[in-house]
Amino acid sequence: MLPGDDRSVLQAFREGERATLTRVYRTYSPQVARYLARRFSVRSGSSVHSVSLGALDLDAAHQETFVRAFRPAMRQAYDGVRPYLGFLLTLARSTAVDLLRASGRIAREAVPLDDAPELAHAPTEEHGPEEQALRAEVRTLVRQFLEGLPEEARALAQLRFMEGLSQEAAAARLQLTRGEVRVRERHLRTRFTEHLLARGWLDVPLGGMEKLP
Amino acid sequence: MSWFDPHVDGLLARWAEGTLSPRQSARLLRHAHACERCGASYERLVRASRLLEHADPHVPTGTELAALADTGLAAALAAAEPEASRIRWPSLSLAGGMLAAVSLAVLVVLVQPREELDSLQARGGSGRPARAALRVFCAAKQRPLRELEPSQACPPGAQLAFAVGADAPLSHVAVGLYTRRLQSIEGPFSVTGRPGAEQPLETTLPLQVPAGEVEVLAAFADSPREALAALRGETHQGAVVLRLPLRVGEETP
Ligand SMILES: [Zn+2]
Repeated sequence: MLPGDDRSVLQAFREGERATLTRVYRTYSPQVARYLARRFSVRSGSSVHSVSLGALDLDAAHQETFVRAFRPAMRQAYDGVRPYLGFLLTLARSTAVDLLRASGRIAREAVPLDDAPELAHAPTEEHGPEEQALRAEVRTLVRQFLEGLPEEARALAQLRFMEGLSQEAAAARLQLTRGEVRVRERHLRTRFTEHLLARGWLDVPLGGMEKLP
Repeated sequence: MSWFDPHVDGLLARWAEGTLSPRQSARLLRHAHACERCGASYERLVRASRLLEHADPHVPTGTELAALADTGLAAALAAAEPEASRIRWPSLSLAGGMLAAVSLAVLVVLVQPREELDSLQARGGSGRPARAALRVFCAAKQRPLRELEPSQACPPGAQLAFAVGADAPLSHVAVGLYTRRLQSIEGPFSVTGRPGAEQPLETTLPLQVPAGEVEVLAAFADSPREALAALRGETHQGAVVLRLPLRVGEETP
């Protein structure tokens, strides 16, 4: 089922009408990206492990998923009955596996396992010492950042990030206007980037950063 | 700071703030795919942001999702065009920029020869190889030129055409068609395109081999001689060999 589910939408989709394709794309892009960012369990020989795409590979896989999905033959292959998201996620998974194979992260003969949620956690994680060190480092960086924030900013980070509240909801809780929350959040993010620079996590002087108070 | 920034530091800063326009997102990501320095910065920024915002390294942030969505739309719409209008030589330079790293990353297997420890250190230890891109097309009689994805079929007797791009120091490429044993080598050619803006090679390889599995290899190196040596599998440093498995036979719809 496509958004705005009726026959004329399916028809327009199959004909490749741009406005419809754009709407379908916008609707499903976040779900496809979230799906691709998660860990994938793959079996290679007798061993099972989980792998995930890096941020740039995620962009590549997300883009490639829709490229494949929107090709004329693939649009015709969608029956309009099954949920379209399932169709897309199947494509997303094979794209991710192709990408992982292509980059040598998994063996060519590796097989992705089914999406049973318990499997996503069962396999032994394959993380080299370098990866472990990076993870620990970034975790420490984030903790230090949050601890070093003034009370108000920390409250905002708590509501927006940890509790996942919308800007409106956070504004209501902090008795601020939404505009105020928006500005403070931008400062918070800028401050975070400065923290990353100061700690050497980023080694590139991001343009414009030095101008901020 | 110079006025002309060949990198995208300013865009990375705006990404971090969450204030990128769609066009800027696309530029940032396109550059990050092609540039080792900015690619690494982007990866690190994303990693830290995910942890800050979701305390989970596998959940993309809102900023990330918005940038991915803005970046991918053009390629998706381009792919939706009917085959005949989509794949023509001139479209390579147009579509190339958008499809760029993407189809290519999926298209190829990167085989990086093992290097000596000291040369790795000399490169600063980042470990990312220079980038190269290969696209292969099937030109069969009476049919439109068609780009081949891994394991797709091209009929016997057809011609394979190529487009390549590479970043410095990779300057030359040699291509070969392999079955069980070496069949044919073309080149070396000098590489004029870049990944994301591949240029056609002025050569084609006829598929005068029996139906079955074949592999196209393209070896990129910093000199004509090294490119050939890399294709032949002789010792080579810093060369990049891309492989695309194909099937010789009638395409199955
Ligand atoms: Zn750069």
